[in-house]
Amino acid sequence: MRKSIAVISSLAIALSVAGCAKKGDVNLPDPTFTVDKATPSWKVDKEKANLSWYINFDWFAQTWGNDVASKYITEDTGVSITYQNGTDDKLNTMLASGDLPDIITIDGSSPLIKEADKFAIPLDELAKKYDPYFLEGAAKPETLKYFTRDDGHIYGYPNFSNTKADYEKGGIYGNQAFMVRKDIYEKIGKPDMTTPEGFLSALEAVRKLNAKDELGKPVIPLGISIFNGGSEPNGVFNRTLADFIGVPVLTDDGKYYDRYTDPDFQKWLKTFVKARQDGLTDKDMITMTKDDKDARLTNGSYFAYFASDVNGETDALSLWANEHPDKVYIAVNGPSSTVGRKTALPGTSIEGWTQTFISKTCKNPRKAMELVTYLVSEYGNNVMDFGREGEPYTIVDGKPVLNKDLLEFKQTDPAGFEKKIGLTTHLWLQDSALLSRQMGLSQFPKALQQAKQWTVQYVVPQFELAGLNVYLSKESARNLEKINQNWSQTVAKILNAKSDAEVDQAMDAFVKYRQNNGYDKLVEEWNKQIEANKKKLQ
Amino acid sequence: MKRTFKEKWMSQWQLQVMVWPSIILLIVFSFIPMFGLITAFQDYSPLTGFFASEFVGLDNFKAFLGDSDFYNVLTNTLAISLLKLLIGFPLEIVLAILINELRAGPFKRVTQTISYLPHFLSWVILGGMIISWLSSSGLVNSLLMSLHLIQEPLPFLTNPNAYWWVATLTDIWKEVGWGTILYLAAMAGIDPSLYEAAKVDGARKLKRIWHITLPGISQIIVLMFVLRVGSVLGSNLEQALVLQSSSNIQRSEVIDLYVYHLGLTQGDFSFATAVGIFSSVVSVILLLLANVLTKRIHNSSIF
Repeated sequence: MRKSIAVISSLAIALSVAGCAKKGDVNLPDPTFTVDKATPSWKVDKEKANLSWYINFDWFAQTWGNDVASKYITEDTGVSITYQNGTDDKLNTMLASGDLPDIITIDGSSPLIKEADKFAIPLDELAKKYDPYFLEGAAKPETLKYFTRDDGHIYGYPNFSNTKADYEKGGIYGNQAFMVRKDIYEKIGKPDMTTPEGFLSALEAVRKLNAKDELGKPVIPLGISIFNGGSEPNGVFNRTLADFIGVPVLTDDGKYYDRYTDPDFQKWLKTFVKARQDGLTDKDMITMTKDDKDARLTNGSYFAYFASDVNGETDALSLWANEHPDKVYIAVNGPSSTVGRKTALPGTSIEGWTQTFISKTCKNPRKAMELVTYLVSEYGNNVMDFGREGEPYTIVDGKPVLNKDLLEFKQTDPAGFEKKIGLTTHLWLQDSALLSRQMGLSQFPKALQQAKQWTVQYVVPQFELAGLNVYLSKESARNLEKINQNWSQTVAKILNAKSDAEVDQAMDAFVKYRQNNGYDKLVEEWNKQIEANKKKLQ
Repeated sequence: MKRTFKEKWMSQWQLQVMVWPSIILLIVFSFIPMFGLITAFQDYSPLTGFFASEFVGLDNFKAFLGDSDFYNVLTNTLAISLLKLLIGFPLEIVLAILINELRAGPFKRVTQTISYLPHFLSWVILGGMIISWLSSSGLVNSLLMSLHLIQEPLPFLTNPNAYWWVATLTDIWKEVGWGTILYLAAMAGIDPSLYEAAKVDGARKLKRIWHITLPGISQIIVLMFVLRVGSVLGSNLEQALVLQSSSNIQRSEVIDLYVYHLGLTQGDFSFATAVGIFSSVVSVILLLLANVLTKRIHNSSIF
C-alpha cells in the first residue's frame, strides 16, 4: 500500500519539477543528403552520433562497444549506443517527467504501448523524411501493416515478429513438448501415450517398473512445468494441453473460442486428475519452485515431463543429458485429441516480443532512424547475428555459417560468448525467423534439438489472437486478472479433486464466477481485437 | 520576562539544527507526494500527468468496493494480521523476558543472535526454503512421518485452510527475535535496586517479573500495541507474493497483493491509489481507537 503511494508520489515530484514540456509535435530538421528508396541512408549519411537506448528489462546488462557485434554496427552506421535498463517504475517516472532516452524498447504486452503516440515519433514519418528504405526494403511488409495504428502511423517496430511468409518459408519452431526418459520409455516397450487410456497405462507401467532416480528414490511417472513463475501459469493447463489436443482458438465463424469448457479438454483434464488420484504425478507440482523442478530433472526423477517452455529447461536438460547420454529426455507424441483434431502449437506471432520506439525527445531522430533501419534490415541482422563475412562467418550453401570455434564457444559457454562476441545479443530489433532459417537446429543446445525438431511439424500461426490483452479497457483488464486468478484456483481444485463430479462442480463454479465478473464484456472486447487483427492481416 | 521567538530559537539552536533535516525530509518525501493522492479520483496515466488526466469522481473506489472479492481479501488481511497480533505480540514479550532472565554470558549472546538471524533473510529466500520444507517430501513432513505422527504427508501449502497459519507462524518465527530488542532495551533501563529490594522481601522470580519487569516496560508495550493495531491492514506483500500458490489464493490474497495484481501490474495507478487511501483511512481510525482504548484501560497512551 505505502509502496504504491510512494511510486505515485515519486511520479508527482518528477512531474512537478520537470514541468510538462512534452506536448506538441516534434520539429524534424531536413536531411543534408538526398534520401533514396533503394539505399539505406546509413550508407550515405556518415555523421556520427551518440544515442541512449533504454531497455525495459532489468536483466539486460550488455554494454555497447565491448563486443565484436556492436563494434561492427557502429563502424557501419556511425551510431554509438549507451544502454540503459530498468523496470516499469523507472520507465513510468521517465514518461511522467517527459525526459526520455533517445530510443526505448518495451515489452509488447505493456499497457504503455497503448499510449505510444504521446511519447514516440511515428516511424513512418521519420522513414519518409530520412530513410524511406525502412518502409521499402528493410522492414517486413506484413509486420508494418500489422503495426499500423488506426491513425495511420507506425509507432513501434517489434523484434521476433514472425509473418505468414516466415511460416511458409519454414524454420519456425515451437516451444512446447511432451518428453520422456528414453531408457525407461524403451524398457516399457515404447507405448502409445496419445490416448487417455494409453497415457494412464504407460504411467502405471512406469510405476510397476520401480525404477530409481539418481538419489535412489522411485522415479515419478509424470511431472509438468511449474505453476508459478514459469512462462505459462498453471503448468500446462492454461494452453499447452489444449494446444497438444488441438482445441481450436477460434470458433467456426472466427470468434473467440472458450477452450477451457471444450469437452475434449475436459476429458483430458479428468485424465490428469485420474493420474493424480492414482499417485502417478508429482505430488508437489502445484506449489513447486523452479529450483525443486530443476533438481527433479537433473536427477532424472521424472519419467515423463510435460514442458510448456522447452527453452526454459536448457540448463537442467543439458546437465542431465551430458551426464547420462543414454537416458536423455526425448520428445514423443503426447496427449492428443480424442475427436480427431490435429496438434497445433503456437510459434512466435506477428506481434513479436518487444517494441522499439524513437522518443519525442530524441537528440538525433535521423541517426536513430538510420540505426533502426539498419538493425531491421537483412544486412543488419546478418551483422548482428554473425558479424562480417569472412571474419566470424562464411557463406555455405547461401546461408551464413558461424566459424566452428565460435559456434562451439556459443553452444558450450553462452554467457561468455554473449559478453565477448555479442553476436545475437543486441536482439531488440532482431528478425528471429531469418536467424532461425539460417541456423536451423544448430541454434539450439544439443539437449533440446530433438524436441525442437519434433515441434516443427505442428507449429502453426495464430495471428488472430495477437495482442489480445494489450488494448483492453482498464475494467476488463482488471476482470481478466481476476478471472485468471480464479482459473488458477480452479485448476488447483480440479487437480486435487477426488471424483469427476468434483471436477464438474469446480468448473461450474468457475463459469459462474466468470459470468459475475464481466466475462461477456471481456469476450466482446477480445472479439473486437480479433476483428481488427483480421483486417490488418488480410 | 517573555522572550521573543528569535531569542528562544537561538537559545536552542543546537537542537533546532538536529531536528530540521528530518522535518525537511518528511516534507519532501511524505507531505509533498500526498498531492499524488489526486490520482485516485482520476483516470491517471503518467503520460497525461496530474493536470490533464480526466477526473472520474469516485469510480475507482466504486470499482473495488463493488468487487465481491475485495471483502474476501479484507477478511484474509485482517485474519492474518490479528493472528499475528494475538500470538506474535505476546510471544515477543515472553521471549524478551526469558532472554532477560538469562545470566549474561556466551549462552545468552548466542541465543539472542540466533533469534535475530531469520529477520535478516529476505522473504524471497526464506519463502523458497519454506516451500521446500513444507512440501510433501520436505523436512517437516519427513520428520513427522519418521516419528510416526502421521501416515500421509500433510498438504501444508496446497490446503487453503492452512495458509493463514502458515503465514502467521512463519512470520512470527522470522520476526519474534527481532521484536524483542525494544523490550530488552526497556528492561535494561529498570533500576536493579528494585529487584534487589524485592529479593530481600522474599519475592520469587515470577513475582519479580510480574511486579517489576512488566510494569517497567508497560509504556513500551502500549506503544507497540497501538502501532501494531494501526497496521493491521498493512499486510506482508513479500511474504504473500512468495507463499501464494494457485491452490491457496482464496486465503492468501491480501490487500497489498490485490493492489499489486489488479492495479500496479496493469499500470492502473488510480485504482491502486484508491485502495491505498481506503486502507490508510481505516488504519488511522484503528490507530486512534487503540490509543483511546489503552488510555481508558491502562491510563497511558502515545498521544
